[in-house]
This record gives sequence, C-alpha cells and structure tokens, in this order.
Amino acid sequence: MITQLLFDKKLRYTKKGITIGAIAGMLWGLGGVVMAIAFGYEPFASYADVSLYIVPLVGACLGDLFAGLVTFCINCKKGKGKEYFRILKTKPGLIICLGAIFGGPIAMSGYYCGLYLAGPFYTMAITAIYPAIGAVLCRIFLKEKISKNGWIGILLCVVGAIVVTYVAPSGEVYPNFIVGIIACILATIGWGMEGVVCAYGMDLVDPDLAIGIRWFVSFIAYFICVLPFVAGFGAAGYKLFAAAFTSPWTLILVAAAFVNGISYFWYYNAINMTGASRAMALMITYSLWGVIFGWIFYGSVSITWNIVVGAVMIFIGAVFVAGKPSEILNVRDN
Amino acid sequence: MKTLPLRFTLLKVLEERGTALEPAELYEAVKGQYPNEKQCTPSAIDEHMMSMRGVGLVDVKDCYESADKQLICKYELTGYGKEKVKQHIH
Repeated sequence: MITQLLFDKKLRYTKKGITIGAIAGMLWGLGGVVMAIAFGYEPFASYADVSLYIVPLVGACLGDLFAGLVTFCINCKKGKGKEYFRILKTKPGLIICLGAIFGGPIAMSGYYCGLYLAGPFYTMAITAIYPAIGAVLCRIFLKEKISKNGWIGILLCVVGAIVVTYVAPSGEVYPNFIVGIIACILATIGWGMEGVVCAYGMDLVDPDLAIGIRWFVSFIAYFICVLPFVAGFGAAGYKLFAAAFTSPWTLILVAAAFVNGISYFWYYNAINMTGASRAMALMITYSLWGVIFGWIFYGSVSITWNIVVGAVMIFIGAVFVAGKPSEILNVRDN
Repeated sequence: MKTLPLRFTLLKVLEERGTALEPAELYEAVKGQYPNEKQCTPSAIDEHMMSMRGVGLVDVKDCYESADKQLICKYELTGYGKEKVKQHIH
C-alpha cells in the first residue's frame, strides 16, 4: 500500500516534468513569433538596415532583461528573493552563470553570425541538432539514463526540427562560409552545454532560481560583450537599447519576454525533473510551434510537405521521449 | 553567520544529523535561519527533497500515511549526496 503510494508520488512528479517540458517548447515557439512581430515596429524597424544582427541581438539582450525581471517577480512572490544573492556566493551558482553564458550570448551570437555568414539552410540544420549533442554530453558527464526509445525520440525530434525549418539553398555565395559554419557549431555546442552545465548546477540550486540568475547573467554578458560589436565596433547597439525604452511598441517585446520567461522557467524545472536530455528534446518542438503560431498570427505561412512531415516526426519523437514515465523515476544512474 | 541557500541548508542538516528526516522535521531544523521567508514551508521542503531525489542526492528511507491520509516520507543522503555536501557546502 505505502509502496504503491510512493510509486504514485514519484510518477506524478515525473509526469509533471514531462508536461511542463512540452508546454515550455510550445511557449518558446509563441515567444519567438511575438518577438518577431516586435522587431517590425519602432525602434527596431529603423535599425534593420544598420546591420544584420543588431536587431535580434539587442532584442535578445532586452528580452533577457525583461524575462529576468518577470522571473524575479515570480520568485519574490514565492519568497525566494534573498536566495539570488545566497546562490551567487556558491560554486554551483557560478556553474549556473557559466551555463547562462553558453546558452545566451555564445549560442545566440553564433546563431545569428551563422545566419549571416553561412545562410539559413545550414544554420537551421546544424543548430537543430543541439538536443542530440546535449543528450550525448548528459550521458557522458551526468550519467543520465536514456533508453533506446529515448534516443530514437531525441533523434526524431532533431530530424523533425531540421525538416520543419528546411530552407532550400538559395545558391547565394557566402564568402565567409567556413566561419559561418564554425559559428553554427558554436551555437549548437552552446545550447547543448547550457542544458548539461545547468543540469549539473541544479543538483543543488533550485531551478526557479537558476533560471532567474541565468537571465540576468546572460543580459549582463550581452550588454558588456556583445552590444559593442553588433554593428561593427561602436555605440549603435546601445543607442537601439536606449531607444527601446522610449517606444510604446517595446511593450510587444515585453509580452514576448513574459512568454519566454515562463517558457524557460518551466524548461529549467523540466531539466531538473526529467533530465536535461529529455527536456532539450521537448524544447526543440518549438520549431513546430513557431510555424503554427506564425500561421495563426501572420496567416502567410503556407503548409508545405516538409512542415507536415517534420510535424509528424516531432510529434512521434516527443511521444518516444516522454516514453513510459514509470521508467524514468530516477533521472541518473548514480 | 552566513545564511546558505535553502537547499544547501537542508542537505547540511541531513548530513549533520546522519539520519533520515521527514519534511516537517527538516522544517523545524531550518526555519530559524529563514524567518518570514515564504519559501520555507514543509510542503516546499518536500518538493525540494523530491527534486533532489530525482538526481540522486537523497533517497526515500521510510514512508507512512498520516492521520489525514497524506503520504509522509523520510529522506536520507545518498553517497553521491554526501560527496556533493563535502564538495560544495563545507
């Protein structure tokens, strides 16, 4: 009787982790679409011609700041405000900061440099494999349990994401193609490493606080290390950053940051509850949700064969990843 | 004295006591360090313990059903948990 009650309690916990991981992927897809809408308005619209990465990278910097504030409010409501400072004085807290730098400025800058230097086809395809890279790293460093079906699910999600985001090569010549590919690889490793490093740190750090710290560290790193270089070396990034605070359209970006904030809040909790490899595979479903929300908001996305095939693969992959929750009551082998 | 994050303190208490404890006992042991902090409640502590159980830091030792039909579990540090306490908390 007691054994059954304990089993039920563990099962409820695992199922909750899988559910919030899946919702996190959906919300990240929604947040991306809302953010893209914000970029169509001032002050972002008038900076689009300044450089290819100024808008997305300044947007990411602002998004991290606003998401950090949203998360801080949630944590203060839960009575966890003081924990931020306590955690930052510990080694696992610093590990979370490292994960934030991998997943924030390193991965995002790599992604946008990849788009610019190697084109969308290679960038989308290469960066979509980050859950597979992450799963291998989780198995090696964290000894995470991944069943045969789990591996199949992760691979299906990855291939499905590549198929959904497939962009036919345009034939355009990219003179710095190799540098672009290196940037894509950097982005892929950055996102994979974020999951693994943060999962390691979250053994001891509360996931609610880990994500709170992640946003602020990522914001600071963007602000100091990325913004000076978003349009050659200069102050253009800071000018756009400051201009965003005087435009009412920035409220759309705040809305996107709110959605993204909730998404990552649950993503980090899912990493802790179900393991980083499963959470990453559920998160990559955002590529499908992005298409669906893009269709809802813009109505201009045509449903092509690759979207249908990719969607089916992602769905089947996610089912495989979720697998039998009763088999993943303990995340690790240790 | 420097206040540690709540999870760190919970693990430290388990290590110092050297025995399995239930959330209410852990709460009694740590509440003085987190006065007026909403995060420190027996149910929140139980959630922390479940999370740390999932990654192998603690294990469920004994469980029983309380008078109000709630499942109450006692948690103890695992070998991996003791290693982590030694590495990061002492």
